[in-house]
Amino acid sequence: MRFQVEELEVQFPYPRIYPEQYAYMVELKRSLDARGHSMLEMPTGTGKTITLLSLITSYQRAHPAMGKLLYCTRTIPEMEKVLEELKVLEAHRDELFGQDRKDKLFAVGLTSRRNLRVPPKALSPQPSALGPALSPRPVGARPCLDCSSAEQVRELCSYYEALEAQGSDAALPAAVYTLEELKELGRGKGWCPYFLARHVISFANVVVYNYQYLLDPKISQLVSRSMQRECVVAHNIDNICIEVMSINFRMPTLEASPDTSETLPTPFLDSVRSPRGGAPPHRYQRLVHGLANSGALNASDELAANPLLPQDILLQAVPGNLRRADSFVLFLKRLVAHLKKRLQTEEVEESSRLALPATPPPAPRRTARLLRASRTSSQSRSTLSLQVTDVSDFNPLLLVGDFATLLATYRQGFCIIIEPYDERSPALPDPLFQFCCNDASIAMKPVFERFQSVLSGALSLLTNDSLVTTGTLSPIDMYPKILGFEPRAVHSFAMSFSRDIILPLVVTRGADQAPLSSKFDLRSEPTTVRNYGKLLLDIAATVPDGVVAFFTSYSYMQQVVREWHALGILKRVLEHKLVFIETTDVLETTMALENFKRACDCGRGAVFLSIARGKVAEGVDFDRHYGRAVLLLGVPFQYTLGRVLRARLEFLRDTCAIDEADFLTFDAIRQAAQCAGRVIRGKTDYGIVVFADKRYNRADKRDKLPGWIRQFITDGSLDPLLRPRLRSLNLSSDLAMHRARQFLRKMAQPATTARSVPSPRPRETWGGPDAPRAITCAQAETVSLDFEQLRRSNAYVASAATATAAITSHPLQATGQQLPDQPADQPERFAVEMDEAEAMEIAV
Amino acid sequence: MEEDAEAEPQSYAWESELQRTWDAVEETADGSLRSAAAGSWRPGEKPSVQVGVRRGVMRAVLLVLDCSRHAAEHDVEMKPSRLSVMCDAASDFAGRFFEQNPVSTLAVLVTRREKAEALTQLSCNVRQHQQALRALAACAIGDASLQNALELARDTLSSVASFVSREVPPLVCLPSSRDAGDLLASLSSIAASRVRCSVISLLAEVCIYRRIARETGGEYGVALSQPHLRELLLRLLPPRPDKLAPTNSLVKVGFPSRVPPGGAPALTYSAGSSKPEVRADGGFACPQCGVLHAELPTECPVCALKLLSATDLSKTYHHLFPLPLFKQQLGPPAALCFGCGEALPAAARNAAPATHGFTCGACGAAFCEHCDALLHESLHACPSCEGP
Repeated sequence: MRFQVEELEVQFPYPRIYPEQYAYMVELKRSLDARGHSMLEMPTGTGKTITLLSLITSYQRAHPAMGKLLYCTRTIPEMEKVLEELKVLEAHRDELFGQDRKDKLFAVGLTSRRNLRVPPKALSPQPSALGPALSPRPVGARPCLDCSSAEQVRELCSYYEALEAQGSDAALPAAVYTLEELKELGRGKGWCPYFLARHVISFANVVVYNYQYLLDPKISQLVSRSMQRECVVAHNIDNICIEVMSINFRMPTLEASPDTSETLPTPFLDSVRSPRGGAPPHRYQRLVHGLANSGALNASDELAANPLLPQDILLQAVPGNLRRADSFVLFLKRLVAHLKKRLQTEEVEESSRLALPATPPPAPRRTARLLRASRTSSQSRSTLSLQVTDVSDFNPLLLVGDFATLLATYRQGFCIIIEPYDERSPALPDPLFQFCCNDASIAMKPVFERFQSVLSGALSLLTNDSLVTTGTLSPIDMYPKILGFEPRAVHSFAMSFSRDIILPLVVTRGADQAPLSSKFDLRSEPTTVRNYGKLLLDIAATVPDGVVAFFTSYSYMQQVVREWHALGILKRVLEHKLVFIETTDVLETTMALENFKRACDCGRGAVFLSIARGKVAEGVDFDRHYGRAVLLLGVPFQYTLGRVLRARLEFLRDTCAIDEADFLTFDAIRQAAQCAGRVIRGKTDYGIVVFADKRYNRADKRDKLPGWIRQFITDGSLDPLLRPRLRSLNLSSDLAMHRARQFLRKMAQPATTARSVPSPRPRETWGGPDAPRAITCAQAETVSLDFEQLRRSNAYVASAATATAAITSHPLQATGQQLPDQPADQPERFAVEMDEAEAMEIAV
Repeated sequence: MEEDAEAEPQSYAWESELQRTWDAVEETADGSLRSAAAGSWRPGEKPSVQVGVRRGVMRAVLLVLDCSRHAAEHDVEMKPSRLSVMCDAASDFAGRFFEQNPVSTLAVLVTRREKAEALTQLSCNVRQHQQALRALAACAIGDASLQNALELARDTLSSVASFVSREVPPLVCLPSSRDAGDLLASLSSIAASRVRCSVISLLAEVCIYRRIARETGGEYGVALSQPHLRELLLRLLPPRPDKLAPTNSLVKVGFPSRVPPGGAPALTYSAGSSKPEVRADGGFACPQCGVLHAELPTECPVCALKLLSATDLSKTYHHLFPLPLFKQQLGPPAALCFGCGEALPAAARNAAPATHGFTCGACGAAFCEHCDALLHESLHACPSCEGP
């Protein structure tokens, strides 16, 4: 269908559009017009992807000068899904405008070489789900090592060579290419699909890749180009930013480093000393400049693309004493020796900078430059050494190199924590060296900043910049602070439902009225454990098929499960459902999940006991009958005594003015919402969400839940006399089960008979006289979403607790809430440019 | 009801009218108490009728009742217990079933203590089924096994002639299946033997039940309350369009002649039993072998001839040519009901707002709510235009 969004014609491949999708498009269009960053939150299952794709590509059609769309995903399946959606969209446009239109979309996905490879027989055992993290750096010398088998190491990959021979003439017709199609094409033409993808991303309109490509400084330089981008990043972006910038190593890593550095030089030295001997001369040139990369790119592009290191540093020649391999190896050895010495400490150390010993470096003034350059050098040198052995042997060395570079580049936002032993077993010495990034904005900053500079530079190529953050992020105003940017628009969209598909139940008491909580002083009480067990038992007896229970930590789960076993609760749960447990072992958990799904399929039903911050909570969907109920046993706070967390909290308090408790609550509730979101994967799905902790009943926790859960919470505190069957707060476990039973019966009715039960609460759907024409012509529900009203109505839920008199009056009159404040202008905290003297001070 | 309560969440218990539920209790014939409120279910939209579809009017229906301990549990929506609610609904179903399907047979299976057993055999004797169901109401024990019940049903139905449509509607109150064997394996064998399972759950939607219903071509329903359960069961009354029947074939039936009572005592077969009794109260003589039968329809145990009465056969005719649904009349063009001659109500109770009556699509005659029900449920013809 075609319709207008504020004078922009949008093609949408489906015959109907949900009101929130339309609202999302309007917001998106506005932020594209304003060329600013925006934050838009929308619950899962509302069709974010297709909405975004269809609007932005329509915008591209209308404004051909606009640059590319970079769509960042987390996993390969997600990437495939996006490309499939694009195909549907393009097929729809073909229908509308005819097959042979000029402005066809050109879209490719880019992932690691493991996933984009022609020969099916692989050296590596598994294609990695998170593509780029382990993908070897491509260099000119041995571009496609893993394409050839071990015996043929000396031969060149024919696929790569074929592509190289074509040079820039290797053109593709504009179309949407999924990963499979790209591989098929590569097989047909004899081109290496990975390098083909990398070659064509400069022409493509849409590029889909993992967002580590954008954020991780270690990888982004390879693929990021001076291109304009819209990027979509998923939830927990701040944690990923921090992960990519943090480095941890233990003793064994360091132990391995010297060995590798000893094996390193021989071939390398050979090739350097006799450049005309082994490698062809042009490749040697690239290596020497530390700019080794695929043949299609020229050196200056690569330099400009590095988001992490300031250009002047990159453009500096590599210090002379590093240019020689043997002295570089010596330097690395000294660094490793120093780190090892530091690790041998008996006490916990915490510092914001690493005091390097003055003695080993030959000239202190040069240390910073040395360190900075060490990364580029070590990379090129180790990739060169691919000629002899696998790159993975050099990972420890690369780690040290990365560490040195980060250390020398940034002065703030990092800290170093050395823990000589694990907290759980103080007797065992297991020294851990943690170089922690506290500031999520460091990784994001280059992304934001480049857009700014691009705009001021007014290059004709690059016209627009916008960062759209979607997924389940709440509360939404915390993110700009953490990520350090100023959004033009912040919006959270509720989901429109034809019926109430989520039943949130805040269970604060057991059937015996004893409080339920995972607070430290309460959680080990026998009453609490027994009541939690009883609750699980009730849910297992009431809810059919799959149930997922989330504990706050592994240790608490172990303790509780042990006690449940002693109390005989587990045995009684087994009467109703099978029980599966998540462990730290990935393989074991995968098997447990598989069997869990089998048990649900055959009707036996199963309970999955999982961890709120574990792998299952992060990425496994329990859709349809696999998850009819989620039970959150407690509030998933982080371990507040952890040193890394404390350092980060301190940082946030000092620099972002975020209160420690606020951040902890934000983080815990975000995690809880993430767990709850595991069961609702679409509008036809339904599920019960049981928040079993008395702390969820408090307004400060509850209001941090995302709107799509909050809209279903009927507030009992407003009206203590409200019949318990309609209340979802402050329930005891037996009342909760009563509501669950009713809900399950109601939801099991075919959706069409639910037409007579529209949600009685007026705050969810806002019909107005100015309903968008586009929606009416599409015969969709003519419900227009007025954001202002929607936001205020959400605020109404929050503030209504105090305004009891407002219950019967119109919500808009009840509160005069204003828009959330735009985040204050933040000072430039992290000056990347440092003069040399300053840099010395840090490093020494 | 449920919807009404949801629609006004702000109304307090003391603001609504006093409900004297104890006044509404009535005593049934067998002495048990029953709440009259149970009948106040507002039926949902009537299913649309398909005209000119082949239907299997000869049916063999095995009603499966779940008599596990879950059936005896306390349930707010199903009082006094799920089992008694099930039995009530089932005996109501049995009564109406033979009114609408005179040439079909019915049997009742129960499952408890992980086993399945036949409560009644396939027969068309209503009283026999209803008596057995009345005796069942207090025997919920152990766990149910849907797998065993389905296999027993399959075995029972395997002896039924191939042109008879086989149906097994199980009423279950299990949140999960506790079968020791593989339910999916029995499912495929049941689907292969063309048994249609329309599962009705009393608790919640369970994925495996929905799957059973889908794969055998049946329907899946979850009962909200006692009246809703009845409505779900009654939906199974009319015969379904028969997509599963292999080919057309001619069936040999006999139309027996009535032997008046008062003659010499003779061996008489009663329906559902294979042993003849010596009686002198007459019966129906098989046109092929001459043996007397007490009731019709039945199958002659001597010569295996299907015996029917001609009126029974003609009663099934309306399934093939049903009376189309009448349109709801919104304005008041006709003041009087064509059927009973009474004034059409200004606004019918429990009906959609401003409903004044129903009009026949063919002739435009207006009918009141009760006459509409009578025409569609019993007469199957419009008295004005005399046609479906």
